[in-house]
Amino acid sequence: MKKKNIVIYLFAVFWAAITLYPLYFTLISSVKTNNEIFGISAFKLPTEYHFDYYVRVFVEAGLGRALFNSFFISSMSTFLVVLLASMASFYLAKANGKIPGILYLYVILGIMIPFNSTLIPLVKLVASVNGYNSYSTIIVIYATFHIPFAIFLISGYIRGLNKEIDESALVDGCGPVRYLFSFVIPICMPIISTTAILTFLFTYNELIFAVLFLTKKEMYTISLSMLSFVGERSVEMGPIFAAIVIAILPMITVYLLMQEKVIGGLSTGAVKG
Amino acid sequence: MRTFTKTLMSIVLTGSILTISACSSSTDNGKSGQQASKPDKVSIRIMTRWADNTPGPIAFRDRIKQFQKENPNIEVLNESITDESAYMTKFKTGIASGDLPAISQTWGGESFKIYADSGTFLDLSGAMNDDKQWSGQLLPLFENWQFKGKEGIYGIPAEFFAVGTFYNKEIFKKLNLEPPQTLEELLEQAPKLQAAGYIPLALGAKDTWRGGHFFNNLVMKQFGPQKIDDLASRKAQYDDPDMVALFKLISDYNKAGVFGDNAVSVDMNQEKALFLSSRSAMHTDGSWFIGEASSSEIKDKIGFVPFPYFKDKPENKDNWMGGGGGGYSVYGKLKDNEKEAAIKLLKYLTSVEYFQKQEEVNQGGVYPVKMSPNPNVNNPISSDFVNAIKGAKVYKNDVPSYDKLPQLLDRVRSSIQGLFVGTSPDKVGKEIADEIKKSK
Repeated sequence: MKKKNIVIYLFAVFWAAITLYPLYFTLISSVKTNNEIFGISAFKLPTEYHFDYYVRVFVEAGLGRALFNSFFISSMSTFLVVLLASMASFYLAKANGKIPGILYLYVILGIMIPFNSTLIPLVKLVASVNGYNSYSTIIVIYATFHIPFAIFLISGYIRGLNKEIDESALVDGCGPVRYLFSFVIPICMPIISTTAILTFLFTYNELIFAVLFLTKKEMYTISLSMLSFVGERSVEMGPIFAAIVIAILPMITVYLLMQEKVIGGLSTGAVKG
Repeated sequence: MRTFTKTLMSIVLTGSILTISACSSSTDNGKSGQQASKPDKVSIRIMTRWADNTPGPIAFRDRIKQFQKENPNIEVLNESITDESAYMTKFKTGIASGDLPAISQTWGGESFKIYADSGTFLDLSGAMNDDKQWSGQLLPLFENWQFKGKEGIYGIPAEFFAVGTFYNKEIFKKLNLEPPQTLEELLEQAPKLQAAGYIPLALGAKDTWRGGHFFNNLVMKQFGPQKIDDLASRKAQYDDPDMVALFKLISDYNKAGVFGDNAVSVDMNQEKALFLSSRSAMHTDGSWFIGEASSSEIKDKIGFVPFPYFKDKPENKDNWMGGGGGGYSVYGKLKDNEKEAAIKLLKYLTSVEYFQKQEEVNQGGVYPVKMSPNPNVNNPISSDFVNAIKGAKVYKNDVPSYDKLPQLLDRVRSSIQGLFVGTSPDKVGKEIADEIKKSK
């Protein structure tokens, strides 16, 4: 038993080192000059500390505004995805008959469409409705691309739920709306959290749609503002790493918050057989 | 439940119909959502790769602001983005969807011809004839935007570049050497530099264009510009013995350690770091490196000489890799008032006044207009550079960029990268020749 513990601990230490190494590298690189990052001393502590990079990302790249934009766009898209996908999943998983089955397939088809193949029609669409540099355009686009996968996840989960809950709710005279929001959604918290994490992380990191549809500096997301340090023939890596350090903080926060929900949801969702 | 089903069905169907109609409808391509504005005020977009916070791009943005101040009835939306792949995605999506900015940064070359043929970009020779005062100031660097069998000029150069050798004066002085004039000298000096612990000429071959640029220089110094035309017209082949000999030269230099121990594991950023931290004695790069070199810690030690020539080919000594770099092209489907505004902005961004400002903020450099060097700019690296290019006779860009096969540039660069990991010169020549045969 003890030996086994040692092995587990050793493995944990090894794993922690692998996981924390990129964070360490990012952190030390965020105060280094290009020459130190690309030189032999890539793993060493910097000889001079450039804390000014942290100021520059806010002044030159407008990271403050970009953080707000990324956070706002990602939260709104996530909210939209969770709300619409859970309602749709509830219907698609519970309703009987051919039509829901066909609809489900139609929606699921959306997962198989690579978003790069939709860029050209999307640009035409957005241009025709004057939708550049608008929060609503980008939020709706992000949400649309995530709803199929969210429906796939959530409806699968709902299908796996015990039918007895349906019956007891019906017997107590519970209508579909109340049933969805008071019973199904709380029970589905684990899968909804997973969906929310996936959607949030994707939209927070996304670049291509942002490049195409957000062209004003005050609308830039984090990924776009970081490009301010990429020159045509040179890159300033220090400030980019500094921006990464700041940008991953909200992500880690969201992840930690939601992770707790996942665990909490798992216990509330347990149905006794 | 049935009414719910019906409602849902109708929403889904309406949504799909709207999407489909939006994708397939033949919208007026020139009329972009962003460009629609009040009739008396015209709004145009410009997209370049000058979006970072180095002095040049900052001066570029200031110039646009100034233009807006002088022309209150023209609104300019600057959509520049520096990252190459992001820029290209935006550019190609714009072309395919017919929603391209009024002015885009382009690089011309044979693969650009299809855009000229399709009318995507405007022939600017008319505008140039109408305003001789402006066009007369431009250096004749339009080659990239002119095509055989097609009248017109489809871009105005915004950059002028030439590739040569930056070297560390201190290292050469310490070892009692002079920067190499010929390639033979380079090879002779290499062991001495290596013995003293320096990489003779670090090359970031991990980035395929580094090897590509080295190859371009060799072609210019060995054969001259005619060879490039011959390769493009298929009179000469990439697997001809003389070309293979050239590939072998790169391979031999690599084996001799001229580029460092393992050039293919080094990228451009590392290559520059090696030079700027005095571990590499030389660095071949274009005029765009002047700014970075003159703001580096070793700025006082950096000198510039032309790329070495072949001892037995002195007649090719003054052939350079260089010419017009990026330029501006105007979208061909603009409405009259938009076109007028775009040309006005184009002239504003290619005027002598603007490039003088660029020279000031970049502390030197070379520009695509006729202008004398600013006496107040006292930058020895830039003066070295200006002196070195004085004797230049011919400038040519990337060898494969003159070819009508757009994919050849990538092919040549990737195949040359193979030389750094041991691919035989014969095979490299054959790979490129096969790519050409395959497309027939």
